[in-house]
Amino acid sequence: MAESRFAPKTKKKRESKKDESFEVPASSQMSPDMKRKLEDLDDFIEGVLEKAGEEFLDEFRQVEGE
Amino acid sequence: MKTRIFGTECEYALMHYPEGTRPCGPFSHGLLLDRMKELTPLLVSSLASKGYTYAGEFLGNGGRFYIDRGGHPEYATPECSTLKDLVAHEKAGERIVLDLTTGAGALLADSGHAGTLRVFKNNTDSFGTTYGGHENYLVTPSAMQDIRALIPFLVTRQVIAGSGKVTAPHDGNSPVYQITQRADFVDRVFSDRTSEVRGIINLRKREIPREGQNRRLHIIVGDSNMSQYAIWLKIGTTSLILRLLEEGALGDAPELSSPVRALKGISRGLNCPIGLKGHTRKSTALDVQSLYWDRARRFCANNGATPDEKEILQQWAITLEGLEELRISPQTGLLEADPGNLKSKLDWVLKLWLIDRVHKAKGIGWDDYRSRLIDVLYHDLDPEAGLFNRCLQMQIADKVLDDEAIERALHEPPGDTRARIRGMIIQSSAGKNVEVVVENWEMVRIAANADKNGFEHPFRRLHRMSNRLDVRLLDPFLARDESLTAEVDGFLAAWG
Repeated sequence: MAESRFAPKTKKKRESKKDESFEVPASSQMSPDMKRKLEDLDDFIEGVLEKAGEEFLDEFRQVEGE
Repeated sequence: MKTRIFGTECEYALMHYPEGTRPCGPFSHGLLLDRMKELTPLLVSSLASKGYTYAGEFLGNGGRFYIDRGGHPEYATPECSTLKDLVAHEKAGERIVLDLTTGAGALLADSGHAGTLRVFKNNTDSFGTTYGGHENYLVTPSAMQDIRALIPFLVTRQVIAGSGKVTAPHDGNSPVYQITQRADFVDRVFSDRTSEVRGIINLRKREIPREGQNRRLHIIVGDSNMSQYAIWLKIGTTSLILRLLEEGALGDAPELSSPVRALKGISRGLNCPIGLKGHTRKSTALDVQSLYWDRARRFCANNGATPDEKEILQQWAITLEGLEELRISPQTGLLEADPGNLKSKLDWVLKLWLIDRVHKAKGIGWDDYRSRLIDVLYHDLDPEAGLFNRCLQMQIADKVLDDEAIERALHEPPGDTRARIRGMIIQSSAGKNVEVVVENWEMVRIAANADKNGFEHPFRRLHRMSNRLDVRLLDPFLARDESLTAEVDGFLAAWG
């Protein structure tokens, strides 16, 4: 990859936070904490999608604002 | 100007879930609007029951809560001069609106409409309806003269400030993911209207500027952000570029061949080619953003920068670099790589990441209703159901300030703008025998009520005319005025 136009100014900050879910995509290689966190999130999403149901989209109808 | 006043206004969407059923019933299909006459006083009466001090539409924290066109609860932050104050007050606005909605829902239930009233901080539904997320900046008159130089920045700013949107299927076409919620609703660069015909910048005719004085720049192209980081970066970069404009450092800014077309194109594709006047080679939104960033970097190196500006410059660079490395599959429209972890910072990336997870887990595509459902539920303010708020709780989304700052902003105005005086008057008048009328952002009127025994003065109008105090707040930077404070205290002691 070509060097970023911002690289010289951001070298220090770039090492700040890693996105484990993308850098280590195989679930077997994820830390147990990260794996549990993502499972919790998936369960949560499934729950709210199930509760809302497809009808939600028809009912979420607004009136033009400003 | 190095120190600037800014503020935001967010319109919220309401929805009612009748008890024990899916969301449908008497408040569905636009009927909610019919009930707004009932709902509005319930929302407003919740202000008192939830312990907020207020005078009309203005609150003790200096902000404003009201019901806007289309029955949307709206919260306008008080005037802020630091980015962290602005983020704290916008996030406090979410809590106030959620609090009032919960209170109004309970009152509705008491009146026979059992269920839950829910509130969403977004800008569109699936039926092509939009409602605003507006920004206000104090700018010098000369900057307003050259405001066109800001347009390419605003058009491309969506790559850091978009909230993400799944378009509804239309004419047999599959839904597509857009970076911003508002691009489809903008028709022109400038407009004096905020509905039906919208500009990137709104020029309200009623905002008549005073000769030689600073102006209010009203930007209506932006999305309402859930991400604290996105709010912070959106307002911070815009304020910094305005400083360059004011100090004559944007003279050779790029000019888009077709700003509105570019706005819509970028929203549909991060790397959409856009035309610049005088250039044969097409550019991208990141090219334009990096150009503005580079100008800002050089300007700050030569002219100095505030701590806020230095931090914005650094984080802007990190974000743009992350966007350069972001990979979205041209086949699936889903995220392939986010090495800069932008999903922790930018709403549109986080929403796309959530959709990606559900697509993969369920083996579904964009046509499945769940894609659009995630889009809306991302903005649900209910801490038990909102997808963004859950990501924040799980530390998947970043914070830029601690919770205590948001809690303080529920009741305390910023300490360095006129909002402090407005808030002080509203708070110190609470429980006194006076009526406070906040006429507008520049004028507060305190009028003595009938005497304390409850007897109406026979010449009430005359009594009030002669026994009232008009407080003019023409200077938005005026946060402390001892003689004014003494005058207010004296009036309250005499009449309150």
